[in-house]
Amino acid sequence: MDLFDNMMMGFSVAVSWSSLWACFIGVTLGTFIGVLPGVGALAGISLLMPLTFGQSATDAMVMLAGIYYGSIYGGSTAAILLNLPGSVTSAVTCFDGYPMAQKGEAGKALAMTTLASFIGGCFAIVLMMTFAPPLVAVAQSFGSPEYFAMTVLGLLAASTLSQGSPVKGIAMVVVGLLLGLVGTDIQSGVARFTFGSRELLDGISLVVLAMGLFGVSEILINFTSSVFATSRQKVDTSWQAMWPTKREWKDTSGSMARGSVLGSIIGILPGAGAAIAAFIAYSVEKRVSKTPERFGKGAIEGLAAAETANNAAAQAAFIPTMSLGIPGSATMALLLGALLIHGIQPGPLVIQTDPDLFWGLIASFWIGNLMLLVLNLPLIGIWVRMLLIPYHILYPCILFFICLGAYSARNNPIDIFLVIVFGLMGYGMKLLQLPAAPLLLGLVLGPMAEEHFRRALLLSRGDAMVFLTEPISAGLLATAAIIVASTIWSSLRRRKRALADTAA
Amino acid sequence: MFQHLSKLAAAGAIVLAASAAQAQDFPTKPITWIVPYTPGGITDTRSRLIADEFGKALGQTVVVENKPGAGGTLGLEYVARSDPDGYTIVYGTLGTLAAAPSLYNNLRYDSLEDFVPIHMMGSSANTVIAYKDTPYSTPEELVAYAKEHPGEVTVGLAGIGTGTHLASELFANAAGIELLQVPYKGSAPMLNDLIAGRLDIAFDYPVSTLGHVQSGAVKVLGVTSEERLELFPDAPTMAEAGLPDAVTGSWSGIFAPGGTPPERVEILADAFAAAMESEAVKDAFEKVQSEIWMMRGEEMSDYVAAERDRWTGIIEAAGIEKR
Repeated sequence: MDLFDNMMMGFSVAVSWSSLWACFIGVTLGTFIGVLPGVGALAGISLLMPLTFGQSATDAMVMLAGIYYGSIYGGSTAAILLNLPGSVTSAVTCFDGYPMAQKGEAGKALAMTTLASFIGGCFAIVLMMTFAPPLVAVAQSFGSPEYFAMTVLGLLAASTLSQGSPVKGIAMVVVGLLLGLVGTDIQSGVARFTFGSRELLDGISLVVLAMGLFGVSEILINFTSSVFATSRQKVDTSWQAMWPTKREWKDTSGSMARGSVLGSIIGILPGAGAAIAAFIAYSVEKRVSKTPERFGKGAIEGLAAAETANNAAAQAAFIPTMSLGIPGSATMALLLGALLIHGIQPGPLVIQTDPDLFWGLIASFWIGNLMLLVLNLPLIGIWVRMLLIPYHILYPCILFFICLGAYSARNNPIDIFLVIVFGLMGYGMKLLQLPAAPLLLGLVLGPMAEEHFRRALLLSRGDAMVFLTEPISAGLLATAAIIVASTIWSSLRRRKRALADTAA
Repeated sequence: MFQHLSKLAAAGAIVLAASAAQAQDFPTKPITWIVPYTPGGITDTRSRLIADEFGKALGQTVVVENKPGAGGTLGLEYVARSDPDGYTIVYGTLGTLAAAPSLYNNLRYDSLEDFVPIHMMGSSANTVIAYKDTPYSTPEELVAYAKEHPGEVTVGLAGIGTGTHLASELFANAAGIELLQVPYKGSAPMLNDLIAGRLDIAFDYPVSTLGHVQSGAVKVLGVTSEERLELFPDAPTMAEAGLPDAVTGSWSGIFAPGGTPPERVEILADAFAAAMESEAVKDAFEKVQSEIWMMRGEEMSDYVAAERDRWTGIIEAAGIEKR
């Protein structure tokens, strides 16, 4: 009954007026920060952190955590309505969310997103409460060979993300990998492909790339197409039109279950993060779907899987952060910094020394997720009205926010230049029908794959067998091999059959 | 209204009353303090805290602005080219002022000519930590083991050219041992591998290691400070372990662009000293086991110059390639 006692203690902390208020402020601000393109949780939390200095440690953490997962909820809004990933995590939401909006189903897409986010978040919280210690052990057992094997699987998934020609998909993954090489080499400290520019020493920012490839290019495409002149269709935001039908619930329930599990597992691993969780859940969904051709054209299952996964991962990321004191991402590192300011030493002992903080925070996640659900459903009606703003007013505003978001990440004008360059590149890619998603995933996974491959070899003193002797890594690599083999097998059989058909 | 308030605040700053009266023409507008690291980190939050007290003592707002990139050198470059009027200052460190000249190509500043030291902030030692089941528990035992097994002990680096990397180079150099360096992207993944036993030892700041030492996940072999640290009373210093050359601390201070009028530098230094002596700042430094350092003027410029020479030698000896 330990768990029950812990939860009761948690809720007794989290339902205090001050914590409820902190939670409400956190998730509300988070939602709005998430909606703004390019301004993610990281910027939001660092700007608002000074506000929490006067609060108790628990209230401060509740509020800052609320900004974090709130922004992941909010990030989907701009992705669905404008094809603009408000944060990296919602890049996957663009794939099917935006086509749904183009079909006039913006309300439904937003409602589905909110519900899926809620379900994914809740699943991860349950997991966190019941299995935190064994999960920590899993996260700990992930060394460089395991991370490398995971990125191999991820890269395979990346090349299947796209529509149409697999060759184009693979080519774009490679372009992403190449862009990922830009910057300082972790192993040697040598600058690569920076062309003497010291601004590029830290590499190309994923947010900048995503905003350029998706957001800016979308605006350019619309300027040159006839869509610009046509009148908009009105979006039905009545309850009946938005709430998923029985059939849609049935179609998405499997996706949400898979998304929750995948998101939670990936979220626990330090360094993997919510964006990768969403990418992988989406490509798994496309693989198991009987109608994979619908993906990218407004498949509600793809949207549901990505949203459950990224929110599950966002919550699960707190497991290593709080129980090990090891932050999995920059945002988590910030939250640990906030703990330090309040004089609490993050680390494995936090659960024992400050149980009210730990369990109170977890209980607040429930409350926060519930608040987000209540907050976001009525807001849909307001958000979709954004689409009624004429393009000639809306687009300059969006471009302004994109540039602002790009600049604010590190107060460096070169990022504005880069976002425009990537926008033009994205425009060219759209004309050539080259998919942008695999490129994005290549940039995320490439540097990870290289880093862990080289470190694994360094630690094994150059013995490449380490990837096969470690059980988890061997299992992941075997899965990758099976996927490749089955893809080749099925395409060979198809070709054989096609040949037989023409012969007959 | 605003002027009225700022006058009141100036009057409230007791330490400064005299010097503020002497040079009332400065500062008449907010001071921009460039912190060349990402917002939210320990450096940034600490600067914001100090900025608050600093502003109170100056009678002017001090605005912290983050300009991260290239290990902090982009922010330094920005300030080196700012107007030397005292209204733009920068957070300078061992990394950006002593080590960076030997680590980066095309660095667009000279640590000594392009900056005037205003006041030191503090210095933070490194802890030498090891996986809990390693066969050594003191610096001497580590050195003896590494001499028997050259190149076998793995040492984690939080990044090439970071303060912790330099401290480990210094240690290996002083002890005459060869370690297998394993670079990471920051300290968190490095500690994760150390706790799991995939890595043998690491150098890191007390603020990151304390929790893991307390929980018994890692053991602390020694500290690089001159005196023992309160939080790790049993950990010997490098000097105690017979390695006086391995004593080091990551220092930081505030600097103005070269050519800033000396009387303005004085006003800033007086106010900064008052801020460093405030209770809030003292508290914050104690929490992360950083030492407050009340150094300024010529003493500080000599120190920075000596540090630059010292690290240039160490980095050359270690054979770290410029980027």
